[in-house]
Amino acid sequence: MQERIPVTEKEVNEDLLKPVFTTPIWWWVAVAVMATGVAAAAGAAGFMFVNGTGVEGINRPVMWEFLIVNFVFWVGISHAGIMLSAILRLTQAEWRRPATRAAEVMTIFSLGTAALHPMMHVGRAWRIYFEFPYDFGRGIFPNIRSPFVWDPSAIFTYLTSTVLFVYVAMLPDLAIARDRSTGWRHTMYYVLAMNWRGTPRQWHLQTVAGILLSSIILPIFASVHSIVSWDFGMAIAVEGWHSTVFAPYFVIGAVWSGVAGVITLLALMRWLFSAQKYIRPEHFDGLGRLLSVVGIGWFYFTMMEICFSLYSLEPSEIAFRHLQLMEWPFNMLFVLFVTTGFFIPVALFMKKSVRRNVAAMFWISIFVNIGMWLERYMIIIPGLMRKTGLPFSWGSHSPSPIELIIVTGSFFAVALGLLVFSKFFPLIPLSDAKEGEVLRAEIQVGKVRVPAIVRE
Amino acid sequence: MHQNQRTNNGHGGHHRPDILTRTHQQVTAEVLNRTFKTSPTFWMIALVLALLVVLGVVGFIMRLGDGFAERLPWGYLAAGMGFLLTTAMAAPVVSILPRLVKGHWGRPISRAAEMWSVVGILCTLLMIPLLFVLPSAEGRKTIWFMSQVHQNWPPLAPWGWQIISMAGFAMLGLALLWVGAIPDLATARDRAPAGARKGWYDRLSIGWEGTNAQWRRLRAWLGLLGGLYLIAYVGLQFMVSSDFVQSFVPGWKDSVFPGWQAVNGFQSGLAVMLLTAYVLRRWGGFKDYIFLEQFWAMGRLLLPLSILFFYFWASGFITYWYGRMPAEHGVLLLTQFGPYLGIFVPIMFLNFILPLGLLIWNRIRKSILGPTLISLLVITGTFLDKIRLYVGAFSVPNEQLKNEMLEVIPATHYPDIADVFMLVGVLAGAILLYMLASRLFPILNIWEQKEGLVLQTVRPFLKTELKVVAKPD
Amino acid sequence: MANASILGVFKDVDSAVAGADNLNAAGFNDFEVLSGSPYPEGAFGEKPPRHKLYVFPLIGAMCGFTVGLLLTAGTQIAYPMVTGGKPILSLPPMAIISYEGTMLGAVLFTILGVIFESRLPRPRLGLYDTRITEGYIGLFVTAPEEQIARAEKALRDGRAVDVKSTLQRARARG
Repeated sequence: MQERIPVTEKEVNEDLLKPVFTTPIWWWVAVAVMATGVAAAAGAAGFMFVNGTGVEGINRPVMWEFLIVNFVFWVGISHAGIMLSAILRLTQAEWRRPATRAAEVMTIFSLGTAALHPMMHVGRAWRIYFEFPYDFGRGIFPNIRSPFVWDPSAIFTYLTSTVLFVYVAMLPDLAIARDRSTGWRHTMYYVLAMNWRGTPRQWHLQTVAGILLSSIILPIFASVHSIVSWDFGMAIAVEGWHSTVFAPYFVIGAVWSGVAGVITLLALMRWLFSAQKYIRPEHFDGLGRLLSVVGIGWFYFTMMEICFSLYSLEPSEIAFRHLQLMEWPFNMLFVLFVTTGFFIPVALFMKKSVRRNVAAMFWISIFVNIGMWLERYMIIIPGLMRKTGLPFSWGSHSPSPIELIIVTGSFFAVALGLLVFSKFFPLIPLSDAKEGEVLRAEIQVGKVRVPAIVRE
Repeated sequence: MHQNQRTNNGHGGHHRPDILTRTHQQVTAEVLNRTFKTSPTFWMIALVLALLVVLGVVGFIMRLGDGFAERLPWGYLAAGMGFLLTTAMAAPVVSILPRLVKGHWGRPISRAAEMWSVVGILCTLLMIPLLFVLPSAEGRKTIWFMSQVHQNWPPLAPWGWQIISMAGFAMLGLALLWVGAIPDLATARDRAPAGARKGWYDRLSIGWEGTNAQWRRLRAWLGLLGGLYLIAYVGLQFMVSSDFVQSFVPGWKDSVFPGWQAVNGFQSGLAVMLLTAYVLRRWGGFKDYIFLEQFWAMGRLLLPLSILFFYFWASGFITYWYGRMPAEHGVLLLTQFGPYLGIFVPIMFLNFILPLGLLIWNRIRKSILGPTLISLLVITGTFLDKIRLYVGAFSVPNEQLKNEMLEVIPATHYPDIADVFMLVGVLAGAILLYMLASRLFPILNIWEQKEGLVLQTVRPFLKTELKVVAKPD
Repeated sequence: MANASILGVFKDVDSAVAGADNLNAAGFNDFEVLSGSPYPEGAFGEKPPRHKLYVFPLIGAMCGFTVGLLLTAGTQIAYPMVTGGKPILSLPPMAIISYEGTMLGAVLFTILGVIFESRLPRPRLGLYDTRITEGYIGLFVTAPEEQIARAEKALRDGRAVDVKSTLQRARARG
């Protein structure tokens, strides 16, 4: 059984605000490295804007490449973030406490990064306003029957909701920071905390708002990745994409990769912020148990997708699946994808000792995301290469350095965002940790004390 | 918080309407008493149900006159099988899920949920005549597509695999019921009066003594069987709904459909359990065991599952609507907007719009009657849905089977008197089996109740009183 | 008669409850509890707060849905271009965008509702003690000036570690 050291509110404040108020050397080094990576990606994107999208590895019929793969990947990561926080709030899972804010903030930064990808991909990022119905003068409006218009509307809704959700849930923590800071920081927290005082009414509304907003955001979350999947699924041109399972398949894949992303982040926070007291093995255990179920569910949808694509034995479908499953290098990538994305993680998540080993969970979560990146790659690129059943219009794809730099840069961008955020706001919610302490209890059964929780 | 502990196991003399106030001995005595003694009303109901089953058999014999050359006459029987598979067979999930997430609310209803797996026997029986109208995989689009490439591979497909998976699933359900009941069967063995009943308990409890090792093994088995049951349920829905529905409609290639059927199963299984819990509380004499907590928890689950029902449907619908290929158009027309529009619209109301519109209200969700009434809506909707899907798919004539798409949309097929008899018989049979099982197995899980007594308590906290629930590792 | 406020700061929950009892006994029923972490409802004997938060998302959802519907229908009628053989006013795409609008409206109004119902932003922080976010409990009373002394006694009898009031401040200033 996990040993739990009771902590006082004062200790919680000191421990969890320390990463905000003090800045060690490694932070500056990390920020410098990340910023360099982001700058390189920005340079590559600039080069692409000047020279045209031809500098990507696009080649008819493969006109969607790494940027779109990466777009889907980051939307996926962003999804589980808030889904985790919302679903655990709704089910009152105790092990949510340290994970909620990190998950939500990861949603914000990865969703923002994801949104940049299609903008870059179309080559004229400055024309993004075409997505909005703005041209009342000439009466030209976007075609709402296109999934490419559904997409921005969904992402806009999701991003706005998440930012506001994070803010409202952070009010009590802002008040704590307000009471313990000086100078410009104090002014900032003072303004943001809106003179929060912590009356029972305010606390009650925090709880109600957490539940209410969670239940509103969950359907948004499902809609966003469904719509992303419909960017592919609506088309009948690419055989492998026109599958009815795509929406739930993408959503559960997003949960799978995103919760793994949260595990990566929690492990890093535990090490970097010395938060061993707050991010405990039992939290990893809970996440691992959740993930083993999600992983099996995701595998079911993968099987359904493959099974029903072969169901009717159409030539173009067979050509695509043959490429995806049998031909080099995709057969190797497919094996890599199912081992890293399913078999290794799910098999290991079954063992409690693994679930409670932080280092192991860290590496497994990275494995999951390698697999999930490959999954998107396996859907998009081979699908386009065998877009039709007619061999003369088949094609190939090889990534260009520009794409690779942008893809790498996107990882740096998300990390940079999280690092900077952690300097201004606590990534582990203080009030949630304190509430956990208030509600903590034990039940004596014979000679053992069983950890328990107070329910209202 | 640790001082001033007051337990709820009857010694405190402290009554709360939301927590069990019984000693271990009282729980054992009360539950076993209700298992050993049977009221005349119970036998009256059982008799009526048995007569209805006989009626169903009569309907079946009438149907046999039509032979197996055409599928159409068997559509309603298939719908009956699909209905049982999607409702009763999914009910044990309500016992598995709380165990998986260590929620305490499942304790009083876990046995009642697992007992629905006895309906698996009926499902297996119902599948046998349907196998005769299941055409071979040759030359048509089916999940047995390999048999087009290699002759007769896999062997026995499709018939053998269908019946094996259905019977296997039924056995798995019975195993889950039995394993979960072993400690209670042992308790019953120790208390039953000498006779045939005691002999049965003696054999079924396989020498259970309640040693630590036995409890550990029991838990491991329950976890394993529960996980397998969940996976197998989704797998069985895939087998049945794709082979008995989808593959009969040319052009219907819908990868989300089996998943949708499984979700509908979880939704309806939950609804069945809400109804069962209500019956047990209202007429079964378990008012002090089944509380608002159970209805609230299930109501909270029914809401997202009703939304998922819509979501899975929408996922398939929009892909077909957007694709606009003639084959897809034909499928939409047959199953949704053509001959079965008249029941498709009520289904959407019963399974999605009404549950959503009602359950979002705290006052309805957090009540006993609210979720129960909504569960009735959901079960009705699911019943209509199975008729829409199975009868619709069975009405596609043989000569269209190997087409690329539906050339002609078949007309609505209405039930005749034999169909009505059979459906009534199927429903009565399911309930009768359940009632008979409740004479052998204690319908309340005694050992889980006792465990719950130890792990839940009420403690004063400053000015208020709070429930403390253990969350063992 | 002008009102004044008084804040008693308590080291732990038990003494704060004693203080609350004293206040109740002294006839001050309308006091506020300030705490640095949420306590189960009714822990201090307070009544559950009444709020209308549930109305906000409903209004927001209706507004959002209307805007979404008008926007999708209006723009397509204004610029009727047939694509993919679909009708100009296609319900499924309109439903998707209206759905996003509905949800956005619901979230925006809920956020506004939470802030409004929490009575935020307050113009001034008022009597406060930074130790409250450190685990101390504050009891905050607003009463006519002449009753403040009684309230102060009640708080001190409840083992308050510190008592502040606007009266003292005014006196110090005057």
